[in-house]
Parts: sequence; structure tokens; C-alpha cells
Amino acid sequence: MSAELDPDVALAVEALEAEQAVLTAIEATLERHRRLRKTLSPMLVAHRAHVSLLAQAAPGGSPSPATSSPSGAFPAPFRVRSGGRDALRRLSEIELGSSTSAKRRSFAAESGAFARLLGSMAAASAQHWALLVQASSSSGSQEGRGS
Amino acid sequence: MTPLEALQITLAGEHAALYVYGVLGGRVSVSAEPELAKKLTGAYTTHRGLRDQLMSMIRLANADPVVAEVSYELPNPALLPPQLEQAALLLEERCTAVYADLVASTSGAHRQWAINALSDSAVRQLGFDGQPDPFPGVAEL
Repeated sequence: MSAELDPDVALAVEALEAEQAVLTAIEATLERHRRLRKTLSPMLVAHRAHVSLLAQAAPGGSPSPATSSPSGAFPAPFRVRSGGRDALRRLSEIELGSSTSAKRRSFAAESGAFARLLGSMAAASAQHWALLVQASSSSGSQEGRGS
Repeated sequence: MTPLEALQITLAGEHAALYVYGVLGGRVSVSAEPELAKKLTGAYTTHRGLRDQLMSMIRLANADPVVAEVSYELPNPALLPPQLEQAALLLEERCTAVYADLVASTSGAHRQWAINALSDSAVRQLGFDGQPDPFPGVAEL
């Protein structure tokens, strides 16, 4: 028997998968480029908070680390680029995509409160995108050079 | 809250933002603090555009846009450059929260406007030495 999900619950499931995928990408990048910790730590904290909150709204809780390609995310498995600056640039693209897809979900949400939450998550990813663009283009950045 | 009420509250916030950014822009030294002056001027111009858009949206809803107060309280004394920057950050944080509330109270084109304003405002905070926030505009989280 297949039960049809409430539209907002379906959005929560989709958002959870997308957030988990971004989190996986950041964790993998951090694993390979430890010098990027200072730049990436706030993003790690934010996406973990997003996943934690969305897991409460999505039936089944937290999905396994990204093995699929959720809407608005990227093909799995995620491959970290070898250069620190290239890796930051790749993450900036991922955060921009994350922000765009979160905006789409915020627009589509039936509940105003849920729309507000998703809009805020989109804004968080937009902040990350801006910081990553800056970090990846900063020629003097130790973090951007390191691996 | 009705969508129109939420639009009016957002417009009232834009009136306040314009006033405060105007004061901050008038107090910054363009020669001594060119970067800060540029950011304050940019924010003022952006919020003026947002105010005008909100006024148009409210008129299209057959209502009269709320008018600005004569003056508004500054978030801090706003005398020294660090205070000017902090005042801009506090102001932008308030705007981000107002946009987030507008997202909750609207749908369709008005919600889309609010979603974009929310993200842009959150990014603008970074220019005033703001730190990334897991939930911009949502104080209770």
C-alpha cells in the first residue's frame, strides 16, 4: 500500500536529501583539505543543523549519506578536487545550487512557517556561496592554496 | 496576518532602513573609509529600490502604502567607523527577519520577492562583518 505524502512532507524529504548531499560534499572536502577547516566549519555547522531539523519533519528521519542525486544536488559519489582553490570553487557551485533549489521549495511550500524555514536555509546557502567565492578567488589565501 | 499587512510591515521596515542608512552614509568619511562608504551607499540604493517595489505592490493591491516616520532611532551611537559598520549589520539583520516573516505570510509573486530579498539581505550582512548564520532571519532557531 502506498500512502501519498502531504506536499510539505514531500518537500521536507527532498530538502533533507539535498542538505545531506551538500553536507557530504563539505565533509569530503574537509577530509582531503584540512587547511580549509576555518572556512568550512561554519558551513558544516549550518548544514548539520538543517539536516537535524528536516529529519524531524521527514518520515524515516535522516537518509544515508548521499548515494543518489537529489533534485538540485550533484551526481554521486562526490569527488573532491585536488587543489584547495578548485575544491572551494566546486563547493561554491554546490552551495549556489543548494540555495536555488531551497528557494524553489520555499516558494512551493503550503505552510507559511515551513516556507519561512526553507527560505532561511536558502539564505544560509547564499551566504556560504558568497564566502566560498571570496575564499576561492583570494590570491593571498593560505587556505585556498592548501590541500 | 494578511499578505497586505505583511507587505505594509515590510515597507515600514524599508522606511526605517532608508533613514538609518542615510544617516550612516552621512557620517562615514569617504576619504578615510572608502570601502565602508561604498557598502553603505550600495545598501542605501538597494533598499530604496526595495521600498519602491513594495510601494508598487501595495498600490497594486488597492491600498495606500504606509508613510515613513519623521525619524527613527539608530541601533547604536553610530559615531566611529566600527559603530557605523555594526549599526549597518544590526539594521540588515532586522531587515532579514522582516523578509523572512514576509515569506511566511505571502504566496506567489510576493513570496518570491520576499525569498530573494531574504537571501540578498543575508549576504549583505557579510559585507558588514556579519558571520554566516545557519538560519538567517529566524531568531528562534
